[in-house]
Amino acid sequence: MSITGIHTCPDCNLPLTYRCADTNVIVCSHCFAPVKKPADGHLAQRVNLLIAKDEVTPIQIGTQGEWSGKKFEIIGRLRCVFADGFTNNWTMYFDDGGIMMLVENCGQFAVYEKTTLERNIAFSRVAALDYGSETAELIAGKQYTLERKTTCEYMEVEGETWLFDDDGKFTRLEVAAQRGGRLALIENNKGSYITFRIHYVPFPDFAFKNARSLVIGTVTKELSCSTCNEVTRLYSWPLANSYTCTSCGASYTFENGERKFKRRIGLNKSPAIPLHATGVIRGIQYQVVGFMEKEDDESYKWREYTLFNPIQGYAYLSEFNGHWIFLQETGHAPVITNNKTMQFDYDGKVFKLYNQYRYSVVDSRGEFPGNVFDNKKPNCKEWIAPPEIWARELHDSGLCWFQGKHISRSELYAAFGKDISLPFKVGVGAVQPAPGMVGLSLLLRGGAGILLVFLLLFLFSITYNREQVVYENMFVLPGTPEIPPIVTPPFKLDKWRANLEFHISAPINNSWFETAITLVNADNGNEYAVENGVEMYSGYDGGEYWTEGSSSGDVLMNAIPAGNYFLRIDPSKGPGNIETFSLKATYDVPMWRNFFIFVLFALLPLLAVLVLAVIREGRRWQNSPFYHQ
Amino acid sequence: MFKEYKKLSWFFIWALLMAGGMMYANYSGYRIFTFNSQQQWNAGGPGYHK
Repeated sequence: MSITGIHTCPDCNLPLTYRCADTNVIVCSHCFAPVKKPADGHLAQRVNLLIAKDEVTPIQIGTQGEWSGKKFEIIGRLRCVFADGFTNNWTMYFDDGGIMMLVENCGQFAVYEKTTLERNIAFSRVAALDYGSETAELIAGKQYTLERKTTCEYMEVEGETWLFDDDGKFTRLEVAAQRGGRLALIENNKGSYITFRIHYVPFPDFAFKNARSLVIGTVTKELSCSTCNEVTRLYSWPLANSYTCTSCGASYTFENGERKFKRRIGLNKSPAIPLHATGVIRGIQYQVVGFMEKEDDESYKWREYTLFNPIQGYAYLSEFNGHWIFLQETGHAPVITNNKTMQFDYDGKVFKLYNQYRYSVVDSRGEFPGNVFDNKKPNCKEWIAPPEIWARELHDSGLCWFQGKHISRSELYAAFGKDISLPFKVGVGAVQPAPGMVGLSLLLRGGAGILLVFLLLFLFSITYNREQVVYENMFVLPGTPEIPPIVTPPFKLDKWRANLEFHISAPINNSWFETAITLVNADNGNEYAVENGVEMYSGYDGGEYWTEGSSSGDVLMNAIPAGNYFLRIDPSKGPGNIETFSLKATYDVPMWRNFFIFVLFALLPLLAVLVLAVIREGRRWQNSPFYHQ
Repeated sequence: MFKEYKKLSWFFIWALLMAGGMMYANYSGYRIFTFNSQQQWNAGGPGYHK
C-alpha cells in the first residue's frame, strides 16, 4: 500500500502522512489532533472531533482481512455514538486503493458499500415510513420498508478515515426490501443523503489477521451504586447500556455516556444459571452477564439470560416452562412489509406467527445491551418453524430481529456444568422439537425412497421365481355323494424351500365344491395339508340378476422343503350336477401380498411419527392465540 | 445433500430389516400372515425312539 500524500499538522507542524486518497480525516500521530484534509488536498485544518479510545473491540488499526475476494486493511475508524449505543465504522482500505466502511455493532459486522439510488426520493419521506409496514420504491420494482432509524449524537475518530458528515450529527435509516437487500441512508446535510448497500457478514468470514485479542470474563468497568455504594463490575461495557446493582436492585442506563438511575427493580428470582458463569454454546464461549424476568400483559412470565462474548457480542437464553431457546440478534433477517403477516418463507422454511405480546422487566440483575428499564413495552412478534424461531421487537428506534433455535437441557448442562439446576419441563415448548422430528417433506421423500427400494428388491427377487406347473389335471366326478380320494403320480420339488399354489376350478351353479389337498413327501412321509372350496350362487331379486361367489379359487402351501411328492385329493361337493373339477399346482410363485405387508410394516414408523407430530403440534399451538390452517 | 437424511437413519435401519425379511420370505416361499390352516404331520410323530 503506497503513501499518497504528506501534509503538515496545523497543531504541531509535524508531517501527517495519508495512505489513501479517498480519506479526508486523520489523527496526527504526534499530537493526536484530528485534522481534515480539504478537498484541494493542499492545506490541512483541525476539526472538532473527539478521539476514540475504547479498545473493547476485536478490530484495531492494522487488522487485515478479506471480503468478497479482496484483501483490505483497517486504517481508521469513526465511532458514532447514538442515544442507546454506538457503532464502530472502521475504514477498510483495499489493495486496489478503494475504501469501504466496516460497521461493527455489538458483535454484528456489516460492510457498507457506497451506492447511488436510481430514484431521487426525499430523505424525510423515507424517514416518515412506519416500521415494517409502509414501503417506498427506492429501486425500480423494489419496495423498501423502514427497519431502523437512529440519530448520531457525536462522532469520535481514530487513525485515517472518511468523515461523511462534517458536524458528526446525522440521522441514519436502514431500509430493506424482499429480495432487494438492505440499504443505509445517511443524511449528511439538510435534505441530502448518502446511500450504502449493507452486506451483513459473520465475523469468521473476514478471516481477520492482527485482530485485537480479547479475553472473556474481563472486567471493563467498575461502578459504585449511588444507592448502596456496592461496586458493580461490568464485563460488556461499553456495549452494555443498562445494568442492575445485584445488591440493592437499583437499575441504571447509560445515555450519551452518562449513567442515569431509572428505577429499583426486584431481585426475587434466582437465575438457574449463575451470573458470570461461562460456557461454550454451539462452539462459542459465552459468559452470563445478565438475567431478567419479563412479564407480558397477560401476566405470563419468562426468563432471559444475557450472554456475552467480546468478539461475537451478545446472545440470549430464553426459558419458559423449562423450555430453552438460544437467540442472537442479527441484521441478516427476514423482511416483512406488512404488519398482518401471518407467515413467511425464510431459508426454505415456513415461519408461522406464534405469539404477539408486549413485555416489561420485573426482575433483573447484571448488565444488558439497550435500555431495558424504560418501561416502554416493545411490541414483539414471534414466528416459528420448530426448532427455529424469528422474534421481532419493535422499539422507538425500529425493528430488532432475533434468530433463535431450541436448545436442550443436556446442551446447557454440557455448557455450564452439572451443578446448575434447570427447571423441569412443562407442556410442549414453542420450538421444542419432537424426538426424531423431521420435516414432512423429508418424511415423504424418505418414505417414497424406501417404497422404490422395496419395489426394486421385490422385482429382482421374483425374477428367480420359477412359476413351474408341477401338476395339472381335470377330474371327472362320479354321480354318487361319496367321492373316493384321488392320488396323483409323484413329482419332484427341488428348491431348498418354496411355495406351492393350487388353483381349483369346478363348474358349479348354486352349489359348492370343496377339496382337501394333502401333499405327501414320498421320501420321508411328511404331510402338508390344506383345504379349499368354491361356491357360487345366483338368481333374480326384484327383476335383477345377482351372483355371489366364484367357481374357482386358490390356496397356497408355504415353505415346502425339497423332495419327491405326490398329492392325495379328497373332494366333496354340494347339491347339483357337478361332473368335473380341475386342479393345477404351480411351484414357486411370486407373492405380492408379502411385498405389500412388508412395505406397510416398513412405513409404519413414519406413520407413527406423523401421528405423534400432529398430536404434538396440536399441544404446541394450544399456547398460541393464532390459528393457521 | 444426504446430510438431512441422517435424521431418518433409525427409519432406514428399520426398513433395511424389513427388506431383509421380505427377501427371506420370498426366497423360502413363506407367505407371512397366512391363516389358511395349513397343517403339517411329521412321519416320525411327536415321540422319539431310544
